[in-house]
Amino acid sequence: MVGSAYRFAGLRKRVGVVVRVSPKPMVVFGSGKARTVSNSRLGKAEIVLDLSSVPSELFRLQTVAERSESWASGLAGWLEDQGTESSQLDSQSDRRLYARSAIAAGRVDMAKDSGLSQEEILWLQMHSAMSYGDSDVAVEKALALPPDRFPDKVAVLARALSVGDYSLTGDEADLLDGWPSSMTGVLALRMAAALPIDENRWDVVCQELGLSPEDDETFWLHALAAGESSVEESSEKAARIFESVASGNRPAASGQHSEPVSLEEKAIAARKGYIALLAPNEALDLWRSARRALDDLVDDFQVELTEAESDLPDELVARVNPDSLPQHALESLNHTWEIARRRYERGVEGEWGSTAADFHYAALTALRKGDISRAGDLEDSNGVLEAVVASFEEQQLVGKALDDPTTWSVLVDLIGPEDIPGQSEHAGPWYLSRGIAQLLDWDWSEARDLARESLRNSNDEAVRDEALNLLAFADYQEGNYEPAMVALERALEGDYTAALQANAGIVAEHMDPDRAAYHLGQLATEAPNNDLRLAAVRRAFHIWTSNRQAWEEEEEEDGESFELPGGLIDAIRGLAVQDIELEDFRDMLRLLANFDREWLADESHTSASPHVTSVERRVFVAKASADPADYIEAIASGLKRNSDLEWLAAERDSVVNGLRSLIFKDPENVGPAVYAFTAVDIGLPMDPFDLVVLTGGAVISISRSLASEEQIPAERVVELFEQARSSVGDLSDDERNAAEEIINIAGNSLAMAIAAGHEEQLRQGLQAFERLTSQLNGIPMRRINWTEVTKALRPIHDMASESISELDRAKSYSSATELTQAIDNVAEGFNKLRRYATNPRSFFS
Amino acid sequence: MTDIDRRNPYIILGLPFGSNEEEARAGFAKARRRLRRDPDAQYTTEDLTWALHQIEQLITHPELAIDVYRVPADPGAIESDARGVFHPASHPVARTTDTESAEEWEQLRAAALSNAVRRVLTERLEASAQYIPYQ
Repeated sequence: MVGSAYRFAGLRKRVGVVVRVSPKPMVVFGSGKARTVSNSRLGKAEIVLDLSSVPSELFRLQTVAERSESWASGLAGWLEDQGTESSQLDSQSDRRLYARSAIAAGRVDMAKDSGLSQEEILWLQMHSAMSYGDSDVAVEKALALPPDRFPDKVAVLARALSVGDYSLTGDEADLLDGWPSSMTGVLALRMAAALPIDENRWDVVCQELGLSPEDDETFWLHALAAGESSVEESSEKAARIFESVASGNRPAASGQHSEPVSLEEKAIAARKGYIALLAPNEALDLWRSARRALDDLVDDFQVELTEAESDLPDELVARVNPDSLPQHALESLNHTWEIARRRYERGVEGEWGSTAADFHYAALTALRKGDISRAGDLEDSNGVLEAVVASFEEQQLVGKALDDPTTWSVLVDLIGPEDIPGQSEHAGPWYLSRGIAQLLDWDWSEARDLARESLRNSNDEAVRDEALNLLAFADYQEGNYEPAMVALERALEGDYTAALQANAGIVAEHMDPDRAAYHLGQLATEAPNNDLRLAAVRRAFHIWTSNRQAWEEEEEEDGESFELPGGLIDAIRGLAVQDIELEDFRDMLRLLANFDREWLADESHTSASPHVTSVERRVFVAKASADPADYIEAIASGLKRNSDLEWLAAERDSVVNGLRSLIFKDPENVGPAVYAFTAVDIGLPMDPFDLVVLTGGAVISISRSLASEEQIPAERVVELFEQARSSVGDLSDDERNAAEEIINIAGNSLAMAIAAGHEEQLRQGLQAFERLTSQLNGIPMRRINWTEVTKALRPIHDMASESISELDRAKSYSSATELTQAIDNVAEGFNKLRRYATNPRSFFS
Repeated sequence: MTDIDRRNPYIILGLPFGSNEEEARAGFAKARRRLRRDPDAQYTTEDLTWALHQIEQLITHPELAIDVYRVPADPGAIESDARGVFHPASHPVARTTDTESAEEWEQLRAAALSNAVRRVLTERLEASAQYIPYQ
């Protein structure tokens, strides 16, 4: 409450700040006048600015008043109200409170009247400035304070230093010299100002900075402060730290650090012999601010750009990344060495120029061919080329030639491997590359021999894997699949390689579908990207379908149901929830719906897919479910929303054709007919001819089943039949001929079922009639109440009438004379029954 | 499986796996010349045509082709990027500045020290309590 700005409503509204609540609330109004108010009035005032969390009472005045003169005069008014001159304030704390408030209000002159010393006013001004983030004033006041007093100025200076861009002059730094070294800020200031740090005081420095002597940061600061004179640079720790900083990382191996190392730190670390990784803008900064130093680093090969940057000056690029410079820029800069080097690397034949670079590379080109006659033209800064020449002369690698990674392969080509040290690390790759060359020259046998030599001469896993791959291909080409697979499986031990896995799948395809599926399943699970995984699944499935017939024969023998290999299923499951294209998602779900129904039917398994709301998911999850009707409904729903989905139309056609085939293959099996009926009943969009045929087939199958059980088909069956029959006329001539035949059969089947059902109903009607009339036996005719009897027989009468009507309609479905006659016979029976039910007396007479 | 099933378009054209169409055409021309010289070679012109067609038309994304045996499977195993006298690194152009750089290095060191201290100090201050004005 105290310090908050209030709006007081009376006849007019006024804004004031509550500066005190006890013993009576005191408010300083915008006019500058301070007045006490009642608690009840304060309670009704509206808070317009809540400053109650801000410490110091009068200090809040400044916050609200923004140092306005009127508020300062308000302060004076309040003092007057208190009946006290500022200099007569009772306690030191009251004087400080007054001075702080005056300073906060921008009235240093009033603060000076408080009776505080000049240093104390400076001290208050320093803190006040720091509170407002005015580092310039804070530093100014801090440095104006006596050096041996007010220790918290150091904290203010340190803070200002850390947030501002300060560097102290020697005189200013001297002010701090008398301070004990156990002040973090002082030490920091000294270091920041590049003052010499006493070597013996590093423990204190580290302690005050919160660093242990073993910290990497400590080492790095020490190394920087010590300059050239100094720390142990050859240790493992030094190497790690210098390398880390040169590449732009913090010295500390761990910890949460937000600030990156600076360009200057990178440069200093690089000078210790490590590669500086510079962003293009950093290289440009160094180029502009310390070009000599940058040139030193470049000359020592200690600068690399993290990325190419086309906007850098050509001169800079030619220094730090000449590889990326276009040829015309090289020519413009007359950079003859790089021009000559590029020509040498391209192997361009012909005359060389007359520069030193041309002489050198012409000689090197000759040397590469074994010609040492121009060795005198070589620029040999480190003695390696001299050793190479000596090696040619001695026909074996000698001296520094052994250390250079490029000499072995050149000399072995010229001298021959038998005269080259057998254990050279270069031998394995050399044999390998020659082996591959032989393979590309269609010489499987020689390639195989060289692959074996490579294996004998190398311990490097990548080289050995490739040699095994080469060996396997040579065997594979000659039809020796088993040894080829053994070699590939050896290569696959250790680090995973997608290419080797794919090769294993190819070889296995020639051996055993299970083995091929295993390897492709591995590839589908472990390949580095989804595209390759999908390709592996498709390939595996292709292999599987290609061999399906053979596998099905095995299946019959051992009686086990066919399944995709588990690894492949796992891969497909994994892909089904990855961020893959919708088309790929569809393919994966289609496979799962066919081969992993139980898993797919559980919707939670695919809920993580990005395609969770797709038609594809709904359709294939429904397909995997236990009820085919769900699948049919999902297709119908999808096609009704979007009839252009070709894949869904294909699913629909597959369902329709499958049902039709099953129905006509075995009409006695009513199951497919029920689903066909479901498809027609829910309005599955389909071709009109398909609709007629499927309806007809369903009616045939259902009718036959009902006829055998003497049950009458439901009205809906009849309705759909009639709809199908009425659609026939809309079909093309060819379709109509075929459809009419099916509809005829369906009509006869339906009529037969209706007749059979009604025949049974007639029997039951007659039995009911007889039971009723038997009760009349022995009763004199004249004593029988025929009106009541007729009434009792009314249901039988109505049933007969309805049956006669239905049988009459059934006759219209029949195209067979015998069937029509049979229907007539049943109808005649109902006619008789209805007559007796209408006039029971006639039955007895 | 027959020999035809094992045909590899890259090997037939004498190319490492993944070579592009241009390289395939060059490989085709070279292999044809070889067939003219060596009519008994194990491949025929028909094979070469098939291989070229495969690479030009069918293997649009070699990295996804898993029905073609890969040789090499790992090109990095045989490609050495090691630099040395016979495979020299690029040459930086000669410097245009003199080598009297001690003063610049001293300035860099001072700036580096200042930056490092400021960084450490800032982190310490951020980690500790924020600046609290006098009470």
